[in-house]
Amino acid sequence: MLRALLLMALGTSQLAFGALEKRTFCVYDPLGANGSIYGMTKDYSTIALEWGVDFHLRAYTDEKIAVDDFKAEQCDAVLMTGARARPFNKFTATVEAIGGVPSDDVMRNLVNTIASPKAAKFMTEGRYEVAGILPAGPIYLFLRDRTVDSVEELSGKRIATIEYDEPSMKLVNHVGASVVPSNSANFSGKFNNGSVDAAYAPAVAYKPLEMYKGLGNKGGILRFNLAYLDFQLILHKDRFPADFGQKSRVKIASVFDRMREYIDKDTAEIDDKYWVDLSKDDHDKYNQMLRNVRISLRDEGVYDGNMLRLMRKLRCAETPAAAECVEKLE
Amino acid sequence: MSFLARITLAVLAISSMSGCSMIYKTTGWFAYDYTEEYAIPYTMKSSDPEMACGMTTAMAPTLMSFSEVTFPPDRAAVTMYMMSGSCAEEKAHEEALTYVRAFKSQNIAEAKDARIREKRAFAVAASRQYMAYQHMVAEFGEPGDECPDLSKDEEIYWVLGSIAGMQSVMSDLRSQSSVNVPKDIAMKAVRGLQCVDNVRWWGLPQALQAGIWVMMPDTAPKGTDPWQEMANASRIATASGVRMAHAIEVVIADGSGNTEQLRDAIRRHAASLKATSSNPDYRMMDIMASRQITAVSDRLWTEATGARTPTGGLGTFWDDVQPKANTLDIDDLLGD
Repeated sequence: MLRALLLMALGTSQLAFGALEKRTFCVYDPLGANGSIYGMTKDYSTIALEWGVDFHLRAYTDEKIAVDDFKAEQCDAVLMTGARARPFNKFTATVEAIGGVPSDDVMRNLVNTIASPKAAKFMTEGRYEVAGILPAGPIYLFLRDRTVDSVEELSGKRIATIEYDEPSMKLVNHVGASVVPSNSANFSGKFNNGSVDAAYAPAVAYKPLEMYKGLGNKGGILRFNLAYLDFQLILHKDRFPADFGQKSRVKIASVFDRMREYIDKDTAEIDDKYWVDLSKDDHDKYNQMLRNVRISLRDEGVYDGNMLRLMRKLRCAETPAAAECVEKLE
Repeated sequence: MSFLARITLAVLAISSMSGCSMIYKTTGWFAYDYTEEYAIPYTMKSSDPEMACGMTTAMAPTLMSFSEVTFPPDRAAVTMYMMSGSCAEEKAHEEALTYVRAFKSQNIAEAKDARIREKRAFAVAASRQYMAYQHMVAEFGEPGDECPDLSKDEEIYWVLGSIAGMQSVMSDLRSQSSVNVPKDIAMKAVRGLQCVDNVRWWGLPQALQAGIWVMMPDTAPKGTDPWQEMANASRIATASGVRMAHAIEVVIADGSGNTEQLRDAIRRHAASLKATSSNPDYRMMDIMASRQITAVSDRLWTEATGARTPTGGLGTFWDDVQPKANTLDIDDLLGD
């Protein structure tokens, strides 16, 4: 009897001691292990120890390879931009829907809403679970000629467009501009050397990629959120403790304001002279056009209808007088 | 007091004040001159980084205080702040090792605290390195566009200031942007370094350019292999006895997550140390580069084994396959 009790006690202590599951976390950061995104995942993995997971981090400077390795099950978790999340969760990939998030406050409400336990059912799709969304800032349109600020004037212009991002391709075609296929490493070069007329990018790209060179004396940046860039953490759900995803989403949502401070710092680096404020008419026209494209992408099955509805409601909570709040097309 | 006495006192006071100021000015010029002519070259030739850290950290504020009575000693400041920045970086690397060990032993509180200490030390490094860069800009202008007209003696400050600029961006990223160093310095410094001769400056311009191409392959000219360019730069560094290009190769390989590339670069560095001694005029730069590489090796070793690179083990790895010992067959030896 005593022996049995001792064995049980030993077994329990071993369980408690060796309970941590070893998992591989593949992290996309344009600067690899030297970058600040990778640095944040170090802090995250320390917290994950408390949730019973021992992460081994792997840095990737090429996002596609990180995603491919995740698909090939060489990584148990992956951190990548929202645009790449479509094959894993259409609901959360739609967070980056064009024109869907007009302000930081809408983004914060959105991230908090989907981190709530009630939203957990939307976080799992097949074998994949979204374990958190990290904001990376609004995406703006950078123009070499600041007078080209209306939808009509964009027609015929060359726009550096991220190759794999279907919605962007659709939007560029929609305004009658021509797509110049690009990626996150070469779009700024094309903008700076004049081989495109416009490019879209978050504020974080402005300084490191010297986009002021392409802006020169004539250029401008539209003060309008084309979309809101984010990073998403996706898991192979069955390899993690049952409550891991939920804990992770709550924790990641809690760093929203710290991330926003970084975004604000990057935005403050942009020279004031470059901001172009749209007239109310042009602003409305852009909103209308982006909404039409969103609806058509929803109908084509690219965007998730539930997420679009949620975003519309959050936008309307902020601006109840907007026409879309009466029309309710999303 | 008579009018005359008051005038006399005032004149005396003024003359004594300006006299003091003159003494301070002269001392300042003397200090600048001494620093540039003797202290910096002496430190560059020395081989004890701990002493160099103590010297530059203590001497930088003393020297800079003379800016109040004379002009700022920009050239000397580039070297001082760069060196003291590297000292803070060294401390950050030490905290990073503590973090890895705490993480491995699941000591969560210590792991979290070590990460905070690491970031704080990187913030100190970033601000010192940024100061070095700013003094370089004050002396020669912003790099990145036109090349300044540099004498051979001035080139060293341009090179060190540019490297410090690059380092300040990296350190700030690691401190989670606590200092807010402008991130475009990185690209400007790389272009600025193309103004100096690649071979004379230890392959550094080529290594940094290759580093950018590794990180952004689409920016490399067609047919260029960035890793090959990097290896070529490292060969030049080996020949020069100042292996800062090796440190760049290791840091870039580490960042890209390319384990084999990283191990290869560390192995080549260790082999180079055995084959070629440091350039006696810039021994300290060579040692600092080697310390940076050892820091990466230490992290790899600590992640794998819990302890840093064994003494004399730089260039080896815990899972290296040992060559089979050439043992003789005892039966053969004992036979007829």
